[in-house]
Amino acid sequence: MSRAGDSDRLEVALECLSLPQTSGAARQILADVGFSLAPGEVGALIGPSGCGKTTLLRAIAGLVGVTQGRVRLPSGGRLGFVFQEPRLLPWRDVETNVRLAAPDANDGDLDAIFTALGLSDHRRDFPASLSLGLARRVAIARAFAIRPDILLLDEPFVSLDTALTLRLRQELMGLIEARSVTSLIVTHSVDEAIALADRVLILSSRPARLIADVPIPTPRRERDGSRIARVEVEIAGHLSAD
Amino acid sequence: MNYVVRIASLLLLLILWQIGSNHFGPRLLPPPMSVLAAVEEQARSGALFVNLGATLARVAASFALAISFGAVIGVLMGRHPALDRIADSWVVILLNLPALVIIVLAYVWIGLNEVAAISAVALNKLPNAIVTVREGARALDRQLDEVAQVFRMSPSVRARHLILPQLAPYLAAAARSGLSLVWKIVLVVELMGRSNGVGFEIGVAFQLFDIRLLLAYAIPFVIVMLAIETFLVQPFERHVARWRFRPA
Repeated sequence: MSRAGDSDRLEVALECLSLPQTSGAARQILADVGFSLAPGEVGALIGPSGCGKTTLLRAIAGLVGVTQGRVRLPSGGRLGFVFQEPRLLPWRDVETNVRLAAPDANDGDLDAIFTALGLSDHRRDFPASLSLGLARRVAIARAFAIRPDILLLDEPFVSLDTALTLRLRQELMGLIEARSVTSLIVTHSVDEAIALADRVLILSSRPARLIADVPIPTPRRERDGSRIARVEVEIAGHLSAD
Repeated sequence: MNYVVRIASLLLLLILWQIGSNHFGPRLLPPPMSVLAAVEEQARSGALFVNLGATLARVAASFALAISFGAVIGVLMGRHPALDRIADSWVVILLNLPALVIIVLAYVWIGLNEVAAISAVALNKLPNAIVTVREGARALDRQLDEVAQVFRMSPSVRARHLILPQLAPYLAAAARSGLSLVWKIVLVVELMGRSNGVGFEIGVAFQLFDIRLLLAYAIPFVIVMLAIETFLVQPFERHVARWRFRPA
């Protein structure tokens, strides 16, 4: 890897992250987590529930302070975040929600993102009228609209049914690959991690350390193209058409 | 259907008024038609409009002052606990200070002038506006704050699209309760230290024991305030809450 390329990597080197508890005492959430992602690489973060996956994402995004260690975002530093809840402004319509986060986005790019996510007919809808699946898509559209250098996703498919999850996965991966966005996805599902990521990062229980960094050898295209995966998608298609 | 009931109930009130007038005599309670004639006299001479205008101007000025200062102070107190701890007792004291005390002090300290009148009314409403808006500021959605932080939204975008829409229902509530409080206190302020306005005229009517004149000012004033409430305040409340009811 060349030196110029290094500044485009996401570098995470955390030695300690503690958060104050309601009792007042600080509690250590993360112990030793170090990894980096190359440009366009997709990492999946997996670990026991409550181990601090979300906190790690929040630390990378600068929403919580790191006690010891550092995080370096890829050069450019534009960060897209898809929270577990869609977190849309309920009093603004879909398009405004996206544009407020990405005031510099051009119309063509927004059109492409809305089309890729099947949101073209929902631009003027208000969040209260959207299903969870659609609201999630808006949150994803918002994160892509800023043309992120790094994209963080916190369980983007949690509590969606299988058919919807598979379709949304495809839409998301389509966008990530088309724009080769460095991405880090928190998930609790091993299947999902294997389907989406180039590397699976496994955290221990709290305080979390990185216990394994497993590369997925098969290119994603071939994973999607496996005969079983095709049947899975076909069945999902029938289910969601119903 | 609602309107029919409302009109019927108002007609019933007029009938009771007429009966009461027959019973107590026109000096204590002049009949509706006589009051209407008095309203017409005051309107013809122009005095009604001059006085209504003066009162409304005072209502508008003190209302605007109280709501804007109340909003700013309320947001600051709601967002900064340290500030809240310091200023909270002051707000509580102001909240419990009788309107009359504030009015007298304002006239003594500032003088018998318009500035004193308007600040006295605004000060009476201010703590109430602060408390209401502070409640709204405390209820601001932290999750949306994080969205603004992550996506690096500018302070003006945050204020306009994030904070204001969340505060709007509280501002509407403060405005609504504020208006009814302000216009009542304005009359007292006028009675005590101004030489025009509805409150001043009512004071004159009191000294002359002229109930007819008193009602000739009171009733049009109530109608004007009801109209403002119905055609300005309520539509504003519906406007700020419109996104809640958006159909699927």
